[in-house]
Amino acid sequence: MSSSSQNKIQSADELNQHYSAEDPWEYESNPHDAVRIQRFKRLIAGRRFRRALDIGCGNGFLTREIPAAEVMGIDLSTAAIEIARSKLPDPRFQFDSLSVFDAHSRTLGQFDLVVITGVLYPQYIGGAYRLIDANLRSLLCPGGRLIHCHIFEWLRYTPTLNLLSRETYQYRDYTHVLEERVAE
Amino acid sequence: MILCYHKVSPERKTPWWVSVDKFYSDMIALRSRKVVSLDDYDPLNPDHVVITFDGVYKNIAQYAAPILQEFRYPFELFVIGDYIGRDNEFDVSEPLTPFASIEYLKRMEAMGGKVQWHTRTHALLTQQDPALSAGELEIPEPIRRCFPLPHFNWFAYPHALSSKGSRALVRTKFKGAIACENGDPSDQWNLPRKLVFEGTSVRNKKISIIIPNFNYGHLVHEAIDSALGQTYPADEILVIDDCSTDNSRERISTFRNRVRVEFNERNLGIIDNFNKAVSLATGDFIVFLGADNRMRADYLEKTVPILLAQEEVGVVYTDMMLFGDRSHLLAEKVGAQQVTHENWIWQFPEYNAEALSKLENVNFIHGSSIFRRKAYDAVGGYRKSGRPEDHDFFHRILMHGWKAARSPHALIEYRQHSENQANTKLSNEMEIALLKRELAFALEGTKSSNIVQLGTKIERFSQKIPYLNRSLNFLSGTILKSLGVLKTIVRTMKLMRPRRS
Ligand SMILES: C[S@@+](CC[C@H](N)C(=O)[O-])C[C@H]1O[C@@H](n2cnc3c(N)ncnc32)[C@H](O)[C@@H]1O
Repeated sequence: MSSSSQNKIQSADELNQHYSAEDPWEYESNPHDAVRIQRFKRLIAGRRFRRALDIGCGNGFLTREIPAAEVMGIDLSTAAIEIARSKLPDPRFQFDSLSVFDAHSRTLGQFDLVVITGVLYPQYIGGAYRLIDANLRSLLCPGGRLIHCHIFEWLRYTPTLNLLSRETYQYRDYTHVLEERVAE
Repeated sequence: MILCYHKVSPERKTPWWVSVDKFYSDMIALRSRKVVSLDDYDPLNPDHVVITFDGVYKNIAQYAAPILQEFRYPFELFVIGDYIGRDNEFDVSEPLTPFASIEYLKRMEAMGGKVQWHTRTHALLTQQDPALSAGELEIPEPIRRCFPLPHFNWFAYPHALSSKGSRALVRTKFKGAIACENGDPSDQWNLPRKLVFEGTSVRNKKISIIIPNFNYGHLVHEAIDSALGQTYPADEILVIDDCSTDNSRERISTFRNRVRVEFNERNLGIIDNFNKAVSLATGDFIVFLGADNRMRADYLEKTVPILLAQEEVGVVYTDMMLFGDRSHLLAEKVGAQQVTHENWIWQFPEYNAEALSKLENVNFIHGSSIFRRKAYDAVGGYRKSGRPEDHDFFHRILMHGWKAARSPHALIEYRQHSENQANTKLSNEMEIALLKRELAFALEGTKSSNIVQLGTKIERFSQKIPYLNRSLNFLSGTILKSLGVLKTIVRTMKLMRPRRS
């Protein structure tokens, strides 16, 4: 909850420009990103979900690792979604351009797993975590799991769901926090 | 009190924009009062609150109105007639922002809004030109037809300014009118109103979270972090250390910038420590959080509105989640529901006569229930007895005639761990992350003393855990860099000072 007087949000256009590169944050080559994928895979090892949603999926770097019969990925950037579609043509995956602000069970239905990584920052959410929180809660079926992973120093939001597990580890120049939470 | 908002949005582009999160918090805070429409408003009743919007911007329809509808609060929409459905071109100091169209105003009407008049073009009404004022007060017929009475009973002065002449004219056309801080509660055609910015508080009740600690140095940061992460923030977080013999002191100090810290000179024991903590705390509502436990992020958001709205309720209790490698032991005993092998949900009975009659023997109001200070005072606080201090305390509150209420959510996460479970490496990493984040907060406030304090702390820390050196080196680097930035800021400010005066 920053008290500074301004708080701007990155627009779809800005994000699309960013995605003129296929892998703008160099996830494919940075060993820290290999580690975060390993951590995520270890957390869900041996589990299989029915219907999973990856919010702010970008080019699908993490989406492709989600073990679910049906995986949906959404991102505000149409450019990112096009890259994700071309990289993962498998019908198990479906990618759509949609903002986290509009991601609600009314339009998407419910999921037994919702993943959101690297998205819950002021530059994307501004001062409206409550709207995101309500959306996340609506998207999860009872007992459904939320897995989120973020740079702890930048995170200004705690989901209003019970915490099942939390791990922290070095990520680039920061600390990552990887959490699993459960819906009521 | 009449409140005035302009723009409510996830983004804040200037001080006239209030975040959605802040707006929602304000609406929770108003649960303690009576939100009324202007037609029902008594300016001399301190409980009455009116919510008004000037403009009216489209983002009010998108973000504020749905929240107001959820709370069932009436609200007033002061429109600038000629700009309905257009941009705020006249407001040169503000970024272009669309006003609500007739269609959006209609939608807001259905959500509890009333449409009121704020002139045709937002022209100042202080000049002595009666023709101008008359034109500005004229509501064009097509708009009037869209919103017949009881709409357009009230008027708001542009820039809150009026002259004797314009006030006289307003009197002939409207039931009443409002200014801003310059108004007068006894003048129906110049009522005062409070402008709300991101930093403006509309609360009339304070909340304290108290975290008593004794030798939980390796866990206390998680408790503090959960208190800081509340969606409806506490006014005060007080960490009181009862003379721990571990490294608690140092670790608690990390949070000095954002929590109050008290270190007891000698060990007081639970009862005296709790009573001392309450005497130090300033809140009207108080909750104790064990240093080894956590609150869910919506603990206050779910429990505080009950205390705000129901004055007869002295304490609100919740369900809880048991966690940790020993949680199954307690869980099986009390019949909690399993989520994973280390997480169990323990539900408590609803509050009623039957539950109350059993409370003597079965405690369902756990120690992290939130209570009213008035109830605490009425029974004289915690005291020594044959039973656990919290059970005894809450039982006496109910025997005194206060009611209890249950929030049926697992808002407390209650640790059940064995001594060897505490994973110190993990805990340390978490602490480093917290240190870094506290550094970021200190930087936002640009208080160099805080940064220096943090720097020293990190240095001391780094000597203890050599394997985390890499991250610490990075941190020291950041601190040095930030100090450089700060020095520049200070220098610039010194340069600017003579110019200002
Ligand atoms: C740092 S990247 C993380 C990408 C991916 N989740 C990962 O972990 O590899 C942030 C992503 O959030 C997306 N994003 C930003 N604002 C968004 C919004 N309002 N709705 C959905 N996605 C958004 C960006 O386009 C970008 O792809």
